[in-house]
Amino acid sequence: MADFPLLNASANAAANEAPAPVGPLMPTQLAPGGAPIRHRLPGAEAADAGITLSQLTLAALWHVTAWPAALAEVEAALAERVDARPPTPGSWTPGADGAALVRTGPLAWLVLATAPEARAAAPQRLAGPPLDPSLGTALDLSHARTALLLAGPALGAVLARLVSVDTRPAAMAEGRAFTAPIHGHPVQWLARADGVALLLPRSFARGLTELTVETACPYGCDAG
Amino acid sequence: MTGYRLRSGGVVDRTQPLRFAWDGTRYTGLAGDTLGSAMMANGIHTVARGFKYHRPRGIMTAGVEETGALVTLGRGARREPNAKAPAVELVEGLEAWGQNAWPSVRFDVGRINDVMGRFFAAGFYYKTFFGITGRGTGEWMLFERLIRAAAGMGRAADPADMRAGAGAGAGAGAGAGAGARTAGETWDLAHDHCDVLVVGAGPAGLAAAEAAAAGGADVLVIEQDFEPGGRLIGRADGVEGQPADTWIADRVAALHRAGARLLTRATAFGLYDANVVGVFQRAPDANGAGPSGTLRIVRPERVILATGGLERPIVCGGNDRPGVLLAGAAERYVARWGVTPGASCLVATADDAAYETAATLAAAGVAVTVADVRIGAGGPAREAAAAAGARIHDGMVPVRVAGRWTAHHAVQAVALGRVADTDPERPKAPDTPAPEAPASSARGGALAGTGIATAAIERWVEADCLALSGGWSPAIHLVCHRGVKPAFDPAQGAFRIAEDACPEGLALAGAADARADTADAVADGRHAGETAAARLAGRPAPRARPGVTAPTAARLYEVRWRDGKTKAFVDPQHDVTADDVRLAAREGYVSVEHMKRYTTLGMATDQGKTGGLVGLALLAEATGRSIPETGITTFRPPYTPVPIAAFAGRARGADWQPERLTPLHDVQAEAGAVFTDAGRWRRAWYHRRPGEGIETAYVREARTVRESVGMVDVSTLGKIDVMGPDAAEFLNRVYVNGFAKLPVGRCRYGVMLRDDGIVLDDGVSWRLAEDRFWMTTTTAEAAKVMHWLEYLIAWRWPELRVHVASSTDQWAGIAVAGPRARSALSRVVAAAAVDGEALPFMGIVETRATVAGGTVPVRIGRVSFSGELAYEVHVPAGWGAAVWQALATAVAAEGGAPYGTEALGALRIEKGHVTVAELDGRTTLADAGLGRMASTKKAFVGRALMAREGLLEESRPQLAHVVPIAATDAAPAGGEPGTQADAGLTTEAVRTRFGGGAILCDPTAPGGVGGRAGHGIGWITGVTESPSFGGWLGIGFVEGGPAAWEGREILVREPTVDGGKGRETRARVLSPHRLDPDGARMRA
Repeated sequence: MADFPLLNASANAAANEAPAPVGPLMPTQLAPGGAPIRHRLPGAEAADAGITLSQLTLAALWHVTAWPAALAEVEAALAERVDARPPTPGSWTPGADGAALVRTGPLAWLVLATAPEARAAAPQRLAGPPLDPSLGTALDLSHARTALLLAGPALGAVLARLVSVDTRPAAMAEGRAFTAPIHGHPVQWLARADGVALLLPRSFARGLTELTVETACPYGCDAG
Repeated sequence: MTGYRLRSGGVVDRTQPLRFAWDGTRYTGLAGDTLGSAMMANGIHTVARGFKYHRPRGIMTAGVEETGALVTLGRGARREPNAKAPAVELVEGLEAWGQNAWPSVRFDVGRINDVMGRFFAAGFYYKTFFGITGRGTGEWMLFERLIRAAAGMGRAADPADMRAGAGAGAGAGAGAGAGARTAGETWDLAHDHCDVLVVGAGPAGLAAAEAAAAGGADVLVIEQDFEPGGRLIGRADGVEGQPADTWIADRVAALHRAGARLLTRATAFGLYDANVVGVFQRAPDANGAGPSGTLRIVRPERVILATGGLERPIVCGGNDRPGVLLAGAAERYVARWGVTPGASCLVATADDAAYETAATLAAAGVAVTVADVRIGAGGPAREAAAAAGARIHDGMVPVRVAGRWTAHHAVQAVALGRVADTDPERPKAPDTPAPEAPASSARGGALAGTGIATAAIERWVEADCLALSGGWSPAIHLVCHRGVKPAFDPAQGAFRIAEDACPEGLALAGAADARADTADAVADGRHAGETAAARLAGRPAPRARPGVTAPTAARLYEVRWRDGKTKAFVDPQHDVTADDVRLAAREGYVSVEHMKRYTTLGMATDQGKTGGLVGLALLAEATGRSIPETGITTFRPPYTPVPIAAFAGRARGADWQPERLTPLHDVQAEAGAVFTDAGRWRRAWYHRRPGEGIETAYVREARTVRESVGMVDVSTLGKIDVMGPDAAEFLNRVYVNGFAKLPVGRCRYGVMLRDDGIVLDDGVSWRLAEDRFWMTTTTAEAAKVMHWLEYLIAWRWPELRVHVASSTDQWAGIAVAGPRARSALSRVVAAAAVDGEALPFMGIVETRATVAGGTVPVRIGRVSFSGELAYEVHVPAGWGAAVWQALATAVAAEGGAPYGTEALGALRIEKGHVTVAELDGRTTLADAGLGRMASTKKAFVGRALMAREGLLEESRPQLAHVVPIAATDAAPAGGEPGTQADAGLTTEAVRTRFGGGAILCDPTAPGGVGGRAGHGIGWITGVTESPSFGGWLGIGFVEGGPAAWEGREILVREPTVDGGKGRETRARVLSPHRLDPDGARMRA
């Protein structure tokens, strides 16, 4: 039988010291790693930022689904792997080493690790598929998504202009997770203490980030 | 009318002047003004022209119900026609222009239409269908031009304006650091959620919101004005023991303390299923740098409609002259803006409320005369008006309004009459002892009859302003958007919504439910707010609904002049007169909906706000029916106009659809690639070299692939991971060919059908493990296939243990094709990994590629779309650019080059491979030449219906190559090449090219369905200049396929090209599988 190590690109990269992967194609409105770019309406150049937008590094991202009969086992296995409480549907829980467990559906999870630095190896606990194949399936999507963090006092106003779901503070309490499209394209949202994280499809990352910056601009947006 | 600013009064900021321009002339208003009040304060009395007759029009209301003062705001790309001046907030630098007039609204040559008014009665344009001389259509074609030229109100910004504004507006919508990607005006679209939405921040709305917030609800209040308070703003009388302005401020403060949100300048324009409310919120300064407005979609748990009431006019002769306005509006101009509409005012009323207008105007120094159709009615308000100096005439009605020639026919005097005692329809107050003996204690009340009165002129009253009040109607438009039918309330003389008719979660409060008295409205609003909060909390409603003060209005819709004819307007916006309504009835348009359309009554921006009910009353009278029997027209969104651009929000220009970029986009762009759209994707179209255009570049690229090696970005292929122990069985059912026995380490081309036996998509599935496949789909159908597979798993075969997940974005894909492909690839990966033994045709391997800075994992399959020796190299997206650069160097070293989608298309056309252009939802396996792929040993989706008789006919269009007949070609059977005589063709010259989409016809059957007069016998799906065959090559479908056309000529028709003249090209039909038919190149 042939060997197909790319089932796990994250681990493969780390183990073989591949060069740094190129980040997703992002718009020029962002300045990752540098001083944030200030976006203000004409006449409001000196205004404080109502929104900060920054890019997060996805060190690992696994899409996990369980066979119906193995739901409880998968839930327990993932919680143990990530060292997190099992999240209820529509929520996420933090784990160890920057990892997190997101319940995206009745039988589906995302297992991810974000990092602030530009290049980050997947934590060892997520270096391989986080699930025994007898329980369900796991798919490496670490190159398929782009992570952003939105924060600031105008967060509510900007979110209301990006998604149709309820984004009032009570509905956006830390730990809430939901999938809602921006401009028709699926985006995973994770409410955090320091703002809201977005997982964008990589191929749409540039366009959706441009749209986000322009939407946030009237409120004063620092993007970096 | 000669309006002017009073020395005091109003809630405008007299320390803050605002400059504005009207028709190019500069004026000054005050902060807090509307455009309407500022124009009135500056003595501008003619602000518009009527739609049809071009009669001069002034300001007729104080809000969105305006039917006269329609103006155009701004200029160029920011021009907005049909703005209602009384509803436009005055801002510094505002520009407004008259419309529907030439050269200006002050002098309009279109006024000639008024002189010829008898030719422009209701439905005149329909009558032009018949023609004056009976020539019908011929004359209509003439009239149509004239009517179309004259039709329309105002002019929207056109594409030329937008282009001109693009340069000037660039940067306006984005920050200094961003640069605007979408130039010009911007609009936002927002989504709001709340427990209780209160529409209207008048007395009832504010009370409702405060009560709901106090009950623990999350409250959102929207108000169309730029200030909350509604008709209370600036009023001297008190509310609940407080001055009105203090009461408003206290309520707003309480809302803020409770965390409620109050949005001003926000109009609810539509109420939809599940009580979703469409709101348009205008920016404070539409000329500012930010969005001009926001379309808000509000999803509340409960809605309280405190939308207030709309005053009805009294229709009489000349009631459209500048200086005629509604009584409530006159009162608001004085109380709120400190502007009087005139120096002398006649208030004609059928309701008590107008006495407040009389008192307010009289107190402001205006000479006021009141004509009340009732006798002795008015109560305390009447006494207050009299005390302020108003002269009151009981039992009098306005009959005719005379205008002043020197002042654009503005009001000069009003003729009053007394309703004839013999008129059976005369409105009467109950318990009135005698017409001549006013009963001071009588409050009026509901009166019987049609509300149509006839009167002779008894006296003239000099006045430069006529304020009319025929009573108030609840503003019920929004609730009617939900399909609720209102019922006529004889006591109110108006339609209203029965309490039990409101949909769940919806309530009316205040004047919107005929509680016009302020105290009643406040009490009712508070009750509605408490009830909403209680319902949300699962508590019963706190108390019974408060009572309501008895209505005071007499029913009076129209006063006819007994002794003459004059134009009396029911809907001044559309120049619909009372006679028009009667004419419609006489001509058979007795249905209220038919009458509306025949006369245009209440259409467009008006939506029947003021004249709608009056029109119904007139129709009822004309047809001898009651108003309930006549019915009411259907109110539909939007309640007020919403700029179309607001619906688009930011989804325009560069943001119309976010671009989808491959991981290899930038690396190709930096190398000079030219891109094209492929659905949402941006794909490299061709890789331009100096001096090259598309025509030369793609041919060079295709030839390079045939002769050496090329590489192309195939990241857009859909990729779906099929996982689980039943993955093989699943694919075996999905594809027409077998996948159950596909060994690990191999891939296979497969085709899947829809249930109806038509091809859905094709692609290659790679077996990575016993329980794992990696499916590629066409770029175009990736999402459709993903949904299809999910559907099959969820609903049709839930017993299968298989999951699917899209991994398209995880991978960058590069196809390396050509005789030197292996050599090129061996420069990047270990040669042993990709030699013919390790990686045979349709084999797969995972290995590492050497790139700058290290090695990266790659997944390689030996798959060919071009017909050459070819490999698909897939790499996790983050390393895509690195692998592209490494391969580009290697390919160049082998004499090759990158190629784009145009060359990709050329190569596959030559090879006869199908794409979505051929698999277009009509194609069967056999049509595409793939009939032998279908397994006869297993079941698969579409198997049963693919065998339908109609799908098996040999005469069905089948895949074929089509090549034009050059002058040097041998003569086909039956004719000489390059001549038309053989088949009766009209082609003037031998053509050598044709385009995609062309129709294939049988030249021997010019009159049949397959001939040039019919729909043809096939079509072209793709064309290219062919490096392999030389010359032009088309691929497409032709009935019977190549076999049926062997040795025969076909005609390629393009009926719409060459400026519509069309073009025909003679061609031959050939097999699509002429290039390397045994596949030796692919398998090399």
